[in-house]
Amino acid sequence: MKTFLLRQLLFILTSLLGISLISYLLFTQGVSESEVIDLGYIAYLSQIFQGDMGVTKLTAEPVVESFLHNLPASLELVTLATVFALLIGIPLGVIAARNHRSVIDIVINNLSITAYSMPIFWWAIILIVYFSLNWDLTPVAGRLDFIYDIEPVTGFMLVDTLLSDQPYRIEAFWDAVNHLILPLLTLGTLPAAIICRMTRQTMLNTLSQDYMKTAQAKGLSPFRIYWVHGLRNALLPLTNMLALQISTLMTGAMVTEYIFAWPGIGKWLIDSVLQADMVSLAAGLLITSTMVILINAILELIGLWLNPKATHNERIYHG
Amino acid sequence: MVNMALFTSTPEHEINANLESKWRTYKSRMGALVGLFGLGIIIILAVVGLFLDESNLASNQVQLTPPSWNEAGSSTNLLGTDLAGRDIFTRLLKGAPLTLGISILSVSFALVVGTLLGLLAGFYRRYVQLLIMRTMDVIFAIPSLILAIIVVMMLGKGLFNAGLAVALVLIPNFVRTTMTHVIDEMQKPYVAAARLDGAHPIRILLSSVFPNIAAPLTLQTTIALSTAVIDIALLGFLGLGAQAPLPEWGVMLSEARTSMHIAPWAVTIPGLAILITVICINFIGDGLNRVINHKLRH
Repeated sequence: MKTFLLRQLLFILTSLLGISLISYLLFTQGVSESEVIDLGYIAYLSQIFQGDMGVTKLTAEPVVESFLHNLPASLELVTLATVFALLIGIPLGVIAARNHRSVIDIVINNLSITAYSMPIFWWAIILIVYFSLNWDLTPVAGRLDFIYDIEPVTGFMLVDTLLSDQPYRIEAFWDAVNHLILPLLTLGTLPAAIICRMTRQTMLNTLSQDYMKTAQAKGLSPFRIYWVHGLRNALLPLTNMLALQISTLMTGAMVTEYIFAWPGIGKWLIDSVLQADMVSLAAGLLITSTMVILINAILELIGLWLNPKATHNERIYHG
Repeated sequence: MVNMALFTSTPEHEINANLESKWRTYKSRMGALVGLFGLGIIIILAVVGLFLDESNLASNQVQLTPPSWNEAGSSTNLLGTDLAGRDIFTRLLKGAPLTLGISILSVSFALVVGTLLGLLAGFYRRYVQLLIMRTMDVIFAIPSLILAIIVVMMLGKGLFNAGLAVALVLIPNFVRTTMTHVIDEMQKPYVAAARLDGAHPIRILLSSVFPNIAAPLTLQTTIALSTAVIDIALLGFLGLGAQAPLPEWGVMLSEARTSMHIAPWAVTIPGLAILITVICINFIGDGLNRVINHKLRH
């Protein structure tokens, strides 16, 4: 366990070193030459530890400030999309596994391959064309209609509208929900498909285990057998597999925010790139990659906590 | 008694029988066959597109004609025309070798580089492995779109650089797959036998280990190809990959976005082309996955 933690720490440190080097390289491309001579790699690092990552190209606003300003909108979208994907993916996966090789299984399998193949930038546009333009059901873009004036408190629109003391706060809340529907569908589809396929696979493995036969022999109800005993064991390997999907989720969030003009870090980052703002790109790289590394480490620890056996056979290479 | 079969290489007729049974497992899955057939047609269309006469591309036709099955459509433009009056079907055909062709090139590049690095890392262990895998871990930690954007920003916008960026995104997956399986295979008795026979390390790698990791690599290649098609189109869509008059599918989509409220078909069709291509590739991958896991179960 100790060596595992030490190894994990070393892994985080070397990865951060690599990321910060690339980030520094990008940073030097973005600032004028005289500044680069003043600012070596070590100085750049110490500057970052003081919370200074330069200023944005267009508005000359501090990058960190502009990042933090955009973060809540992204967190709201990504969290809700993950919940959406889990709520859709896990039950569908279990249902497919329970009805292995039946019509239901085949339909779910083919649906999940289709969803898994979806180019999400096109999916977003198609949803906008049909739901917003043709049927006029949902708004085209943004987080909230301009007619509502909501004081940002937490930065999470769903919370802020309810906290607000405006007379129209309930209407504003439902408007915010309305604005969320299409981005959630766009961002949630791919992870839902991936989770569905993984759940189906791990569930099939679990169903063939002896303890499942024991559960059946004990005369437990099918609900307990599948949804309690089966699912709990099937979800164990899922935490490890989910760690691999974080990067996919971030890419998806960037595209979704860009198309729906959702004011989060993804849109902020793509907008900066389109303005050739290397300083913002350097900061974006540093922050998002650090997040990926840390989340992965945390998920690995959770996986270890859930399944201590994994320490011995998981890691194939030294480090 | 030691099982001697482990130590001798498989006779040729058995390899053929093996391939045949694999094919039988593969084609037992309807989707896998449809995918293979579909991708075949798409590749043929891409080759046709490569040699297609460009006269239809000229913007001398009626703008925004709906597809031919629509009442307002005309039979001269099968899938309608776009905002500049260019025939969408012709542009799709001209775009297929761009989107799909660059994807295939970039996957091939990633396959070669990634497999070589993976073989090195799996074979030499210790420092070589540490260096290679640490570098891969760093690349892996960067969200794929951000990594691709960084490469494009460094090298300049354009279809070719977008292909390079996508290749870099894909390399770590190939390295990991190769290395894991090489380490697995290296512990098997037939490699020990070859080593005791005094075979050269390169020979062990190429003639003993490599054939046995070909299956997982094939699967990885199909996964990589579906990622590549989407990412190349995405970079084109964002204006970072192929540039405007090129009929790359992602670029077509972003051009048609300005007219999506009056001409939904102009955004629907290029995206459908991407979707269908990727679905075909993923169905092939699903079939291959079944073949490989089928082998494991017996």
